[in-house]
Amino acid sequence: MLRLVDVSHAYGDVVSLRRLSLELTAGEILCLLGPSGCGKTTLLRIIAGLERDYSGEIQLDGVDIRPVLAHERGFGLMFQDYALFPHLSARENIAYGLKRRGDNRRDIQRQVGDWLERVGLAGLGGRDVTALSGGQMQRVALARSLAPNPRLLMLDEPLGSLDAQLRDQLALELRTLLKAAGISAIYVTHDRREAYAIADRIAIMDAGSIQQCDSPRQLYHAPATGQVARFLGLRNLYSRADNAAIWKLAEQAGALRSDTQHILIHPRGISLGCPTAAPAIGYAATFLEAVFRGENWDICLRLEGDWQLTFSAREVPAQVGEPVRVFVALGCVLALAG
Amino acid sequence: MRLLLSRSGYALYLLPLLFLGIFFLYPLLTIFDISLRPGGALDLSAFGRLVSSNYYIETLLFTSYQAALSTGLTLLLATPCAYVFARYRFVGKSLLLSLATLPFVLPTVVVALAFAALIGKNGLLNDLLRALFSLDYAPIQLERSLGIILIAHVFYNFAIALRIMAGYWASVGFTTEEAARCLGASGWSLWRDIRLPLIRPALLSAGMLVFIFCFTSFGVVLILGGIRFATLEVQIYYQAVNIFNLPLAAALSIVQILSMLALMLVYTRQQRNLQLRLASSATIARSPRSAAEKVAVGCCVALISLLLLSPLVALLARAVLVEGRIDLSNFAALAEKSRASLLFIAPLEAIVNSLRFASLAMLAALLLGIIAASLINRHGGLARWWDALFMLPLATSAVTLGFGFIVALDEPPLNLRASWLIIPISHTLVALPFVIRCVLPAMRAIPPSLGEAAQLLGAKPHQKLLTIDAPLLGRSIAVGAIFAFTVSMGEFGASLFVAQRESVTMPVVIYRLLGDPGFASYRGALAMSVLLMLVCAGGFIFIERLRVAGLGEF
Repeated sequence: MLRLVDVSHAYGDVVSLRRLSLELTAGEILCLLGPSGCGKTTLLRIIAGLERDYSGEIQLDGVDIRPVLAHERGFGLMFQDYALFPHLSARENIAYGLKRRGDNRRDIQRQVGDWLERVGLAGLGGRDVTALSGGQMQRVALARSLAPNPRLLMLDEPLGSLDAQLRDQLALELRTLLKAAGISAIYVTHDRREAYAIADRIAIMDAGSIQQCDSPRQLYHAPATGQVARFLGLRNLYSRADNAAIWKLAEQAGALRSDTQHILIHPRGISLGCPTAAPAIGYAATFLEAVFRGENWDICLRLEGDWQLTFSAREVPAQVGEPVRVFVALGCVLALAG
Repeated sequence: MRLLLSRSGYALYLLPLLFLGIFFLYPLLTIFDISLRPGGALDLSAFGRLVSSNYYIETLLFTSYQAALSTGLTLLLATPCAYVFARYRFVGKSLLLSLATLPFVLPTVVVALAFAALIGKNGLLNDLLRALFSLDYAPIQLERSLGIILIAHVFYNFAIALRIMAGYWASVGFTTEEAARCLGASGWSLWRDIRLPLIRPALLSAGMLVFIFCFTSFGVVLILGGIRFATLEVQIYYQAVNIFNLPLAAALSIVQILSMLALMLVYTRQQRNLQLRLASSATIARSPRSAAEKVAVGCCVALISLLLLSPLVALLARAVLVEGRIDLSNFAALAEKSRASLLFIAPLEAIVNSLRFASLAMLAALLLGIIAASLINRHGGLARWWDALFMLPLATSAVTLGFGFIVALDEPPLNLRASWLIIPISHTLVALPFVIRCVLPAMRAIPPSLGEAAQLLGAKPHQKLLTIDAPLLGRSIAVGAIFAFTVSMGEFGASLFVAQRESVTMPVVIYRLLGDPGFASYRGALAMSVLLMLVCAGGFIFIERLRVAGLGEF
């Protein structure tokens, strides 16, 4: 549906996007996940038509949309700060795009009422938007961008300013709503939990380019580079400078390649007492510490050959300083390029 | 404001720039030319006279001296009041603050006359004392003295100092003071060691602004002091109009312009410092608890009421009371053209003139101000320079502007000296910075994302302008419009220079009526001053009602 080819952009001397290519299929929710300043928002603004100085191609259903002005693209963008019009009520905000489209008054009234109900704001339409709570503002902004039935909806960190609990709840609601409307969406965030919850596919961005684009599950289980693994919060990532014992383990697992830069021991392959999957290698280890994380404990061990492993467990297996036996499934020893 | 950014819209930006170039920079350059090359060749004799004559050096010294004294007095009274306003909550506080700001929009001639009506030789207070103690002389002898000038300056500038300091004080809070109290500080040591050092940036900033206003004070000094107390401004007027020594007037104007530039430079530096500090959190005022606190609040309320309201009440009383009874004959007499030789027109016609010119100046200042504000609001390194350029008329005294007009715009193709247009044009120039300062902050407060959101929802540039920008700027534009209108209504310095026979405005008529020894003229001046006061106060009430909290820089 949407296709970007070799898109590059710079703010003066600072390059924000480097020959970035990306595809989005109809009805798909794609998350752009990356640290602040990696070019996510710039990419959205280019797709929306708000940034004009870039090189590369952008096609919508095979048609080049570079000459099309922002107000003619029929795309929706939900801003990080919501950008609600402060002089208009919630209802008038939602109606804004419908009015510009030239819908008749009765239609607008009906659609706005519909949307208010769908986002759970029935009865609050007359409210001044400045008098709404953060969550309510987010819903008005969402309804406003969805009401004109955009061909593509872009969301720029739409839950960024909300507290963690509300963020989890709204992320789920958002996915349900987008899927029900069958809208293709690009969702920008720097929160991996939010990305996992909402996306069909996640594109990990760093320094203006896409490092990996896969389904959340695939991304988690097989990150392509050390940087992706780090960004996904995966621990037990080792570089060549680290202990030689780890590289020996990778060799035993048959994972090493010529371009290997990092070794990742995926947490799902680490277990105490007995192996989770065969083949596995057992190590004698010393229990270093356990950090309470609510549902789980973070367990840290020092292994023979003097290297460390960290993983989550439901129980604390031993006293600090006691010896334990740990198994690493060879299938979970990943060699990463880059 | 994207419409203004479109290619064809760039031409619009030329409008305010051309206006400023023709009606501000060109007259200013002409002043330089007259002063430095009076005969067509470089001739510094006018400057030579300035430097060699004690009289002019004394004029400059007196200008600075009276401004410093006025500033000191204003700060002395405003500082404790600012503390009370920041620290305590009391009934009528916001009304009092609004009232205290009223003088800011009052024309200088009105203020001068109000003080004459209160403490002049035949003022209300002298009448009262004479009646009370059966005296046959006026016990208060302040007319044509430095004292009355200083009092009028305090009246004018008190609210500016109060607002700047109270705002700053509320933002820095009182925790430092409370810590000092816990460590044993009290009374005078609390003021000397904690409070005054803490608000030093605001004190300096307010002091500098008041000094600038007093340094350029014209109407107050001219009417209340006369030529004996001539400041630079009065001297420029005197040399240009009474003696017609244009090179000397131009040399004095240059001294004035350079002094103002130096003062404004210092002021803007301080202002930057002040804004940095203002970003800190605000504290909430509390009710006064102890008896001493209640007395402090009471004194503050009494001082403001006495200082600010009594002259205005005196003016009103003098205008409408005749032998203790309400008599509106002073107002009725305004329609008569009895003093034709003095005024050339009936006073009523001057009112029509003022309204006409103020409306025109308002429209022009709005148009040019909005365009200029959107030019300044454009992102880019030049924005700061545009801002400084458009603020220049504010840093130039009205007398210098008026003088520049009569020496520069007196030959084709810009022979405007005999045209009434010169008045609204000069008023537009004076009002333009006010409009920009009202509209620009509101423009800056609109996040770019609002316009982008509208665009993505299908709004074409003109639709965005009408549905987003215009409603969001509406209030600020209205405030700017009223500001421009009241500034024009009260403008005196430039008008006195450029107004011709039939095109005189209310402040000029008041001044001319005052110059006439007849009692009828004095009463006419009183009546007209009351009318002018009511118009400006009305405008002020509108501004106060429309002003969006935190927006606008006045």
